[in-house]
Amino acid sequence: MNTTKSAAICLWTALTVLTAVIFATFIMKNRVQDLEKELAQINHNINEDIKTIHILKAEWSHLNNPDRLRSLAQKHIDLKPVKAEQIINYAALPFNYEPDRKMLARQNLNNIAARNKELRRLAKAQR
Amino acid sequence: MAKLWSAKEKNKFYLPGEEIKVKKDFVFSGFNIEKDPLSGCKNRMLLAISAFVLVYAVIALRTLGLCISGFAPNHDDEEKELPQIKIENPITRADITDRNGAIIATSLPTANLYAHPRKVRDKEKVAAKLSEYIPDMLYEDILAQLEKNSNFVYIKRNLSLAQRYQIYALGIQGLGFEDMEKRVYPQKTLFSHIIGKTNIDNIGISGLERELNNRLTSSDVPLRLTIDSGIQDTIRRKLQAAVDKFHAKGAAAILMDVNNGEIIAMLSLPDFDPNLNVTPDAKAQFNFATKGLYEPGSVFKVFNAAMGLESGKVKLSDRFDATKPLKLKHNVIKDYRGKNKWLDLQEILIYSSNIGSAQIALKVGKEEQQKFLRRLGLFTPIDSFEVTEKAAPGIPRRWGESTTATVAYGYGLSVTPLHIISAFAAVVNGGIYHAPTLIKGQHDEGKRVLSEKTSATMRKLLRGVVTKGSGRRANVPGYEVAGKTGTANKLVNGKYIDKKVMTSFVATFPVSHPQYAFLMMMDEPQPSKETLNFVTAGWNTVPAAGEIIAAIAPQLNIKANYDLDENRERLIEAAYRQ
Repeated sequence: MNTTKSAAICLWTALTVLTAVIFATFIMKNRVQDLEKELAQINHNINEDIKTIHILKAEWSHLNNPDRLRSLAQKHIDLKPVKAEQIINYAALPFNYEPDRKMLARQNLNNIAARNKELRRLAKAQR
Repeated sequence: MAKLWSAKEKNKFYLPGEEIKVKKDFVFSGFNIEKDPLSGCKNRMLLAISAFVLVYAVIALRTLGLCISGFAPNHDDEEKELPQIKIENPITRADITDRNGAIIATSLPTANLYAHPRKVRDKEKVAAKLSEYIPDMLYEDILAQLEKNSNFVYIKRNLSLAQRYQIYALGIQGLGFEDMEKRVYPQKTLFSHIIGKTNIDNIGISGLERELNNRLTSSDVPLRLTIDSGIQDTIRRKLQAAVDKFHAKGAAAILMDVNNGEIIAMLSLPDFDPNLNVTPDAKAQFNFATKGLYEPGSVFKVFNAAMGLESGKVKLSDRFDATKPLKLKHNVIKDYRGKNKWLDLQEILIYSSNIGSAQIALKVGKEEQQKFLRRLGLFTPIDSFEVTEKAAPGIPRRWGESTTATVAYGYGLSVTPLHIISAFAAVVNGGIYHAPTLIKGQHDEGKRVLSEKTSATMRKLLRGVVTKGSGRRANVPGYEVAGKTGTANKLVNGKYIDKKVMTSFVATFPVSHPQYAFLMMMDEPQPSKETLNFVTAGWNTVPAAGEIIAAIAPQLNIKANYDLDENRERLIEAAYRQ
C-alpha cells in the first residue's frame, strides 16, 4: 500500500514537474521566435536602409557632377577659377617685413616682462 | 439482508441508509479486498489512465524536443549560427571612387519585372495599367510580351524601387519581381575609357571593370582610384574645346604623378556614356591613351638626348652638323624648317632637329639604343596597368642603321601615349621608372633607369624648349613648365602625308622639383588662320596644353614661383645643380 502510494506521488510529481518544464520551454521558445521575427524585421530594415543609402549616395555624386556644379556656380556665385597669377609665395612678395617683425617681438617681450613684474608685486603685497 | 433489516427494525426506526452511519461496525456482507467487485474496473481504469498519460507524455516530450531542437530536423549536422544583426551590403559589386572618395561607379538595387503570361488575365487592361507606370515602354510592346505563348517573359529590366512598389501595389496576378542591381556611372562620359562598362549581367566588359572584375565582385570595399574628378573634368573641358577649335579627329591627355606613377587624369576623345545600353561606335570606344599606337615624332628626341647623355658619348657642349641633310644608305634625313648651322644639344631640342638627333643615335649605337629604350619600358606592353585596353609597342623587325636614325626622332616605331608619359616621367623625376597605376596606394617601388645627373640636365634642356623653342606657348608663368613637342606625319598607304599629322606635347611642371607629367596629343588637327596654316604641335597642341596646365596647376596645389626674374633664375639654377 505504502509503496504504491509513494510511487503514485512520485509519478504525479514527476509529471507535474515535467509539464511545468515543458510549459516553460514552450513559452521561452515562443518568445524566442517572436524575438527572431523581430530580428529578421530589423535585418530587413537594415538591408533596405543600406539600399537607400546607396541610392542616395549615387544621387549625391550625380548632383556633385562637376559639370552641374560649374553651371550652378556660374549662375549663382560670382567666382571664377583661380588663375596661376593669383597665387604667390610669401617670400616672393617685394616687401621686407623683417624690421616690423623684430619690433613686434620686442614689444611682446616688454609686455610679458611688465606683466611678470606686476604679478610679482601682487604676490609680495599678498604676503 | 432481510434478516438484518428485521433485526434493526426491532430496536429502532432508521431513516433509509442511516444504519450505515450509525453502525460503526457495519460492513457489507461478503465484502473483502481480494474479492472487490470493483477491482476489475480499477485495473481497467488504471490501464486507460496510463494510456492517456503515456500519450500526453509523448506529446509533451515531443513538444519539449521541438522546443529545444527547433522544427527543422535536417540541420543537425551543420553549425547553426547565432541569430544576430546582420549589416550586409545587398549590393554585390563594389563601388569605384576617385582619390577623394567621390563616386565614379556604383551599383543601384533595381528590380526586373517578369510575367507568367498564361496566368495573366485581362491582358489589355494589365498592359494599359503597366504602361502607365513604365513610361519608357509602349502599351503595344507590353501587350506583345504578355501575349507570348510561354510560361515566363521579362517585361522590363531594371525598374527603380519606387516603380516596383507602385506596380506591386496594383496587385496584378501573374506578375513577379526579381532583385537585380544595375551599374550606374553618375559622372556620365567623364571616366568612360578608364572605367569601361558592364554588360546586362553586371560583368565588366571593358576598361577597369573588366580588368578588375574579380576584385570588384569579391569584396564590397570601394575601390579607390588615383584619379581626381575635378582635374579630370577641367582637362576634359579644355581638351574638348581644343578638339572643337582645331577640328581634330580625336585627342588624348594623361596627367601623371612623376614621383610614384599614379595617374591623376586620363582622357581620350571622343568618348561615350557608359550608362546607355547602346554599343558606342568603334571610334568612341577606342581608348587612345592606353591602346593608341602611333609614331610619336619629335617627342622621342627627349629619350634620344637622355640616351646620349647617359651613355657618356655625348656632352652638352658637343656640336652637330645640321647644315645639310644627313645621307644614309637608304634614305635622307631632313629637318623641318632647319636652321642650317651647327647645333649643340640644347639647340637640337629647341629647333627639334632630326639631323642632329639621328647623329646622336648613330654615335651611341644600335645596341645601346635598344637597351636604353627597353629599360624605359618602350618595347614592352605595360601589363600591370589596370585597364583591359592595352597595346604592345610596334617595333621594327629589322633594326638597321636607318632605323636607329629614324627612331632617334620618333619614326619607325610606334608606342602608346601611356608608354611615352611613363618613360618621360622617369627622365625628369631623377631617373626612377614607375609603372603607371590607377589604384591608390598600389604604386611600385620604381627602378632606376637613368642617373640623377642626366635627369637634372634633361630638365634644364627641356625647360629651354619651353622658354625658347617650340613649346613657348605653354610657358605658363610661375609654374615652370618644361617639355617637348612632337609632330608626326601619318603613314597612309605606306606614304607619310604632310597635312595629316599627330601632334603631341609632353611636359613636366614645376621643373625645379617635378611633381607632374602631362601629355596631350591630337589626331589630325586642321590648319586655320589662327595657326597661320601650320599644323605642327607648337601651334595647336602646345597652347591648348598651356591652358590646361594653367587651369590645373592651382587645383593641384602647386605653389607658383613668382620671384623677381633674376631671383627665379637663381633658384632654378640651384635646383639643377643639386
